[in-house]
Order: sequence, then structure tokens, then C-alpha cells
Amino acid sequence: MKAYLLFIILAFSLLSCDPFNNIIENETNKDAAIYFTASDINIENNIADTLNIVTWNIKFGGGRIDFFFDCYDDRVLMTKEEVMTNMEAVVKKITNMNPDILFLQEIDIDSKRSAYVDQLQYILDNTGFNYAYYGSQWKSDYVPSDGIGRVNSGNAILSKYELSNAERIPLSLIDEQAGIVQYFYLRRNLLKADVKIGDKTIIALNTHTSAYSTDGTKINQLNEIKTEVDLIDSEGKDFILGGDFNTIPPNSAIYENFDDDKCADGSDFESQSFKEELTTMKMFIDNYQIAIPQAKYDLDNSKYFSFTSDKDGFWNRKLDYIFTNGNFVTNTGMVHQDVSTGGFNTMVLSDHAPVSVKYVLK
Amino acid sequence: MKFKIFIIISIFSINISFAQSDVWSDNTANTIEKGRKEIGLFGPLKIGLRDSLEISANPIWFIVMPHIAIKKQWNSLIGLQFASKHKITYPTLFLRALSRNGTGGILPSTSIIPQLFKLNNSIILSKEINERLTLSFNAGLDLSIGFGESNLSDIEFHFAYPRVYSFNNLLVPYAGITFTGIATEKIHYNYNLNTFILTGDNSGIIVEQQLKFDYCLSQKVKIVAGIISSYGDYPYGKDFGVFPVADIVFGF
Repeated sequence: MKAYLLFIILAFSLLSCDPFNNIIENETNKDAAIYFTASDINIENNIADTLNIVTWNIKFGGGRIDFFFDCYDDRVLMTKEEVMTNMEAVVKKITNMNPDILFLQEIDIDSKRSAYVDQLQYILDNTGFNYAYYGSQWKSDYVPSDGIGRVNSGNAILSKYELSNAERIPLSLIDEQAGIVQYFYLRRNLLKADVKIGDKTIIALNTHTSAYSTDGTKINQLNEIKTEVDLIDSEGKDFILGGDFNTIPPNSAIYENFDDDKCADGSDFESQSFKEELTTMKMFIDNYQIAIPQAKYDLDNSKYFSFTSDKDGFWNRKLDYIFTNGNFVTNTGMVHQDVSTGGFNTMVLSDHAPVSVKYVLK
Repeated sequence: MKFKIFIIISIFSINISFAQSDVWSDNTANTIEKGRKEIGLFGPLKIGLRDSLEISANPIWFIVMPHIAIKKQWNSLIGLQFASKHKITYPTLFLRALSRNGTGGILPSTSIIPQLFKLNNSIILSKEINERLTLSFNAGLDLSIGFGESNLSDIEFHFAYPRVYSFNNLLVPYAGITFTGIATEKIHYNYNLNTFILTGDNSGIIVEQQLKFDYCLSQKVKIVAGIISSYGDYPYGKDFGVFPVADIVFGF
């Protein structure tokens, strides 16, 4: 009987844990917001009057390979050669933009799909950045679906300047998902860190909200982000918030039936309609400065589109934003869509284009 | 609830594949006696063909992954009991079933799975230290032979990884040591340490340890519970994993 009881206790104590180490929220903050440093630290003593800020979803170094979730093809895994080729191109573009603070989304540090390349360390070691914080949004010892296997992918804040006090703030999970799906699914977050520049501290925040929720989870996540930045603002601190918000701006002429949507109706990866979310981003736009002012977007939506899943098409919606409660330099906001806006053909680098702006430091 | 059921099935699946259900045969040079049959709820069916010859296969796994194993006890060797185990497995059907989109897709749906045959041969030497403790050494070799085109990726999950590694890398030698003993009349224990040597693309070593207790309700039923851990070199670096193992074994 003792052995039977031992068996029951042993089995259930282990089952009640997190056998695939998926639940990032179980980790301490130090483990959830991971600190990285470049192999060579090069501190600039002369601090400029402005900071160059960039946000970019780099699609885990996948370039324009057609993955299964875009429904153009059915690729799942990349070879190391493919990843390194893509990452070299990503690094060239980052070097070209020369940001002081960079918000990256969908960066892999230990995933089977990207041949286990630590993309964050690679970028740190091959650009002018010195420090970074990383927060997983998808971490599992093994995802038993679609051949994904081991994955560790998330958001990162990279900086030339010292970073500290990082925190991975978890955002709402998708309620409509079955428990087991939710367990293995992405766990969105807001990654926050202090950037110390001379005697000034700015709070940098990076996020990537849910792409495929239809139950209002994404709205909840955006509200949670808004609550956090409002709190920072109310404390009189300066913040810069960047990321892939997976939401289009108000006054977008096209808000559904995008020309790049190849996924069948009802599929897990069907492109969503933004009809009911056309005013969602106003909560940020009306209260804080935005890199691409709404008035400019209203004049010509297409100049500021930053996403398409079709490698043979062109950017067809804007999902990526940078906000601040400080000041951006007027007319410096830009979406690096092609050679004419940033000097590179970014269409081949990711399914998102980088967005940049200059922040007034002094 | 669904999640817990899934995890329970997963863990028992590990047991089906890798755990042994009888401390007195599997990890020692002993075989079960002639005419005796043993079957675990999740473990293999073993039949004693002769007093020194045992045949085994897992009925559930057999449907998707045909296999058969024999264990032969030979004459004693320098005072040690000596046995050899030989197993052939045809994993192609199973690997193809795992290559799919959506839930259960352990491998990408684009995987090209060759006709694969895995041969496993090992020897076991056992020494009875006293009436309550037996010490065994084992050494073996996984050899996988494939025919046809392949882009099979590794399954880098803890306990699966060293067992599928030969699919892409031909050979996996391994060796280990086992203590089997009697704690009380009804409780038997089994501690096994096994080392897999990975050569080829992602060379390294994986060490597994397993501690199990058998609670023998009668000659016909026993409950097996324990823990298995692995530590070693995976394609992503060093890693450590722990899982429970459990089974109910019937003998008749």
C-alpha cells in the first residue's frame, strides 16, 4: 500500500508541474527577463541630442521562406545555413539604420525551426549594441504540433546604453483556446527595461500582441499595455513603447479581405477582419506621441504599411508602432518599405518592415 | 482536464517505449520461466518460450511500429550469468504517422521518411551479490539502416532523442549498470544507469538514470512506479529532464 501511495503522490506531483517548461510565468523575473551582453562592449561617451529608435518583427530569421502558418507553402524548419544567411541580411539592415534602442519581435534564441541559432546573441555581436533583455513569448521543451519541436522565441530590447530593472509583464492568454492548446501556445508579454543614458533614464517597452484571437483577448492585452504606460506616465517617467500590435490604425481604408490572405476560412491562421478594431489604437494615439502621426497616415495609408505575408506582393497593412510620452523629432518617423525609404529592399528580410523614429533626448 | 489526460498518456507512452516492466528479467541476464507470460498495461507482452529464451513485443505499439525482441540466456561466463537481447523495429509507419500538420505533428508534414529498420543488439552480464541484490552490466548497439530519400529531422525530446538518433546517424553504442534488489517481500527496486554515445552530426553523451519500485500484490499483479532522468548533449546544448514512469504488470 505504501508503494501504491508513493506512486500516486509521485505521479501527480510531477503531473501537476509544468512538464514541458512552457509556463514562463512560473519563472522568476530574472529568468523570465534574460539579460544579454555583446561579446565586445563599446560605450559611446558622446551622447547625442536624439536617439534613433527602431521596432522590427524579424520573423525568427525566416526571411521570405513560406512557412505553413502563412498558407503559401508548408515549411516548418530551416537549415542553419538558411538562418545565417537571413540573419546576415537582418544585421546589415540594422547596421544601416543604426538604432540606439531596438525593439525586436519574433526573435529566436533556442528553437528547432531556426536551427537553434541564438539570434539575439548574433545580432548583439555583429552590430553596435552592447546590451539586451529578452522575454520569451513562446517557450517549450517540445511543441507536439506541426513538427515544431523545441521553441524559444520572444521579444527583445537592444540598446547601446546600459539596461536595468527589466521585467517581463505577462499579457492575457487567449481564453477561447482549449487548455492543452493554451498550454503549448504563445504567451504574450510586455517587456520593460530602464535605459540609462547619461543622467537620464527612459523606460523602454516592447510588445507583440496576439495575432489570431477572436474572443477579445487582443483588446484585453492592449488595455493591459495602456494601463502600464499610463502608470509610468503618471509617475512622471519617460517611456518609449514599440512593437507589433497586430492592429491597424484608425481610418485605414482596407481593414479586411487583404490580398495576401491565402489561409482557408476557418483555418487557425485565417487573416482577421479589423472592422471592429478600427478605433482600438486611438487609446494610444490620442494620449501619446506616435512615430507616424495619424494625419500623415490619413493622407496616404500605403506609405506606412509594414506587413504582408506575400513575398511576391507588397506591404498592405500597418501593424507596427512606436509611441512615447516624450517627444519624437518631427517628420522623422519612417517605415523602411524599400530602397527608396531606407536604402534596402526589406521585403526579402521579414514579413514586417522596420519602423524608425528619432526621439528627443535633450 | 484534457491537458492532464494528455500528459498522463504521454508519460505512460514513455514508459511503453523505454521502461522495463519486470525487474527480474529485463535489466538482468535472467529470462522469465518457460510458459510464463507477462504483460504491462502499457508495457510489452513477454512470453517465456523456454527457460532460457524469452520473446517480447508491445501489442499497442506493434500496430504502428512493428517490432519483436528476443532475449536468450547463455551458459554462465566466469561465474556471471550471461544473456543477449536482439530486437528489430520497423519505425517507418510510426514516423510517417507523426509527420503531420496540427496536433500530434511531432515531425513536419513535409518530412520524407525512408524505409527504416532499427536493429538493437545487447549483452547483459549479471552477478548475484547476495540473496537480495543483483548487479548487472549491459552493453549494446543501435544500428539503423534506411533505404530511400530522407530529410528526417531529429526528435530532440529528452528520452526519445538517443533512441531515434541512429535513424540519422547509423549507430548509437550504449552501456550501463543496474542494481536490482528486494527491499521487502513485496517491494522490489531497480536502479539503472545507462550511457548513450552519440556520434556524427551532434556528437555527445546522454546519461539516463532510472529508479523504479515494484509493489508485488501477488505473483500475478504488480504495480511499477518510479522516476527516470536524463542529462546530456542535445542539439541545442546540455539539458536535464525528469519524468515519472508507471505501469501495472500482469503475469500468468
